[in-house]
Amino acid sequence: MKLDKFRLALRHEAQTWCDEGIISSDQYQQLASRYQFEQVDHGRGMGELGKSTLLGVIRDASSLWLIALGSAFVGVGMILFAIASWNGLAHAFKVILLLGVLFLINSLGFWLWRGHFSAVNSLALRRQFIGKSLILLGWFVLAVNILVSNQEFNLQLSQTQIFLLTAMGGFFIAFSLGFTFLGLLSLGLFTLAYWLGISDGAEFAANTTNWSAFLIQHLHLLILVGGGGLAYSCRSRLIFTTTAILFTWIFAVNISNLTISNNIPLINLEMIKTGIIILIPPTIFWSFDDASFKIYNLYNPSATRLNLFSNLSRTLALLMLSSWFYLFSWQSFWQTQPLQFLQAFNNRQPNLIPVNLFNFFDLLILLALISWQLWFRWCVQDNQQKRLGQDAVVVGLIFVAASAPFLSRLPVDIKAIFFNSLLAGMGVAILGYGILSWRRLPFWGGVVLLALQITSRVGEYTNNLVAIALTLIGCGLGMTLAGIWFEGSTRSMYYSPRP
Amino acid sequence: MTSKRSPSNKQPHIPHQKYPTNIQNKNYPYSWSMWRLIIPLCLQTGLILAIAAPNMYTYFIGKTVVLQTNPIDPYDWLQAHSLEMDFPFIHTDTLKKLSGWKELVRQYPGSDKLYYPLAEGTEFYLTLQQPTTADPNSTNTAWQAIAITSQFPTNLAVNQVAIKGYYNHGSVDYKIGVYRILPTLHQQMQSNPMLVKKIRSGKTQPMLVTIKVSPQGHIVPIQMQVGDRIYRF
Repeated sequence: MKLDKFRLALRHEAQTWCDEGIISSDQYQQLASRYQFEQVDHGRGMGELGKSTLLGVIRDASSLWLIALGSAFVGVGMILFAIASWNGLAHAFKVILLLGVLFLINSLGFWLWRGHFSAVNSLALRRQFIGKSLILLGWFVLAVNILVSNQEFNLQLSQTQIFLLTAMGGFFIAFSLGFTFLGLLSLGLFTLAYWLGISDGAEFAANTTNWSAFLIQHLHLLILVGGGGLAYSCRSRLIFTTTAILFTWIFAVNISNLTISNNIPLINLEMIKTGIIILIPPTIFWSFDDASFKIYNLYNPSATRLNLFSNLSRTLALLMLSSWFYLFSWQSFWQTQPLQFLQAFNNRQPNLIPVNLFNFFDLLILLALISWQLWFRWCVQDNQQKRLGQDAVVVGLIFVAASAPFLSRLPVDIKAIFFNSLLAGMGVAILGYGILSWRRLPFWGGVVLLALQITSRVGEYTNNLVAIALTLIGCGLGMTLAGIWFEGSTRSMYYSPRP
Repeated sequence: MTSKRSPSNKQPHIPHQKYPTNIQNKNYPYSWSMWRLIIPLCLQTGLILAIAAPNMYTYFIGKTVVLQTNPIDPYDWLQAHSLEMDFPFIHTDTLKKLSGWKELVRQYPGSDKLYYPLAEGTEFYLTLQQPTTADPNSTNTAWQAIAITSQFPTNLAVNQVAIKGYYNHGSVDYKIGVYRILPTLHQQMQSNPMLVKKIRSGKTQPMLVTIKVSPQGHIVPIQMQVGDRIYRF
């Protein structure tokens, strides 16, 4: 309405200017075509200024309300008809009907969304929003479709299977349309399905061959590949982070549920499993470097480097590594049974899955992925020495962390001191890196890591509250001073390139 | 972001990127192809059809088998929304007498020897054999369970089939399903008081369930017969 009022006013004024000679008739034509003056008269049928302003508004509003009311009646009537005659319909007809609803809603949403990408006014934004909500509604319709098919065809789908199917359907649409919210919901539903699968037990039983068991046992790989693709399609850091967290958790639970069928007495399987759980996720994320991918973007032909997630993934890898080191720096961790925290992952104690070809193949795929990524990273010519150095240090640290389960013979003091020094070294290194390149995230990461280490050591070794309080005050003062110094310096960190 | 392309310089100019990289600037083109919608919709339809496919396959290709349930209380009919079919070989007591049970328990032992002898979710195959119809008037046309194996039995005779079952919390689930008593059936009952009387005063009798079994052991129920009434699934 405001746009039309503006157009009316502008047309009136432009006519006045043209009459007075302020603008030429060419300029009037330009204004007319730009703001589409003829559309003012288009829907009204009246040319007069006064009448069209008032009555036109009312006519528009009332016709809209009538149409909306009419279609609401039609919609409710159809739904009631479907509900009333539900039991009388044939099986196939119901499924086809629901599929038709699915197609309809998704197409409507897509059409609304697609037609209004360039959201310049509130109407287009609203249409975009309605389109997106219709696509979400379409996802619920898919879930209803699956439930009805389950009932009609007597399929006996378990709850886990229904969740997996709905999540897969949502994932397809989110991937193809770049719809972040739907992607997040699908990932969440995958997690829910996994949680149900592992707590229910049917999917983790000894020799099941149904498809959901296979999917759940290998879900970490699927989430890594699928979530990574989704993150690229939606250009969303949130999805990448969620994928990383989910991959780590699911990988840990899946690996901890494996066992070797005929027990070889020389290998202590628990240690190896814990070592693998610590080793693989940080390595995958550290070696992931998409700055070296040369991807020819179809939409933007000038951009050939796709540098979306390399910083994020390296940050995640360092976060994982530092949390492992933090855990290992506690002396009380080493004093209790150190592998017992693995039991938190493994809640199906009597029902471990024997390592068969597929699980091993899974692990091999992950290792191949790591080596491919590392090789890719090392092949890029610029900054190669620095990159090799960084990688050597970090991968070495990851291996040291992964060797922690094997160190049960060493005395507790030595292990605690060793990991504490490693943690301190990491904190100082990250802090120094942040200062040298004037980037905020490493700086604050290093500061928080050091402060956390100092306070937890003091908290662990003394019971003296005064000492703890003094430490906290000292750390807080140090953090504040460091922050003020860092932020206040004249070299702004937003404009320095990533080395 | 502009690219300076000159004939001599093959490498496109990578402009100095600000940190953090603005990755939310998705360049949606103004015309998204319809395929972006059609392909995921087709995939979704394919998903729904794919989960129904084994049932369709069994329905058309499978072998017809008649099973007999344990006797049911006719009063259940009038009250419930769904009727569970209670076969004798769902219970572990019946299974213990079959050959192959000990081997299965040895391979996949459960947590408790008495109540949960088999590991949770273990899948096994039950071999059923058609009774030899020496007497054509015999009412015993139900197939009997004769053996259990953990893999699909390789040497099945012509009059034998194998069905797949999962051990689940103390009993076995063969994925036959339950019979949903539709509201139309309730209405039919109410409009026919003679039928209700006949059902109520009848004694407990077993049901004959006709199923189709696929060559892989998958089951689809077809119809159910109580006395002389036949109900389709």
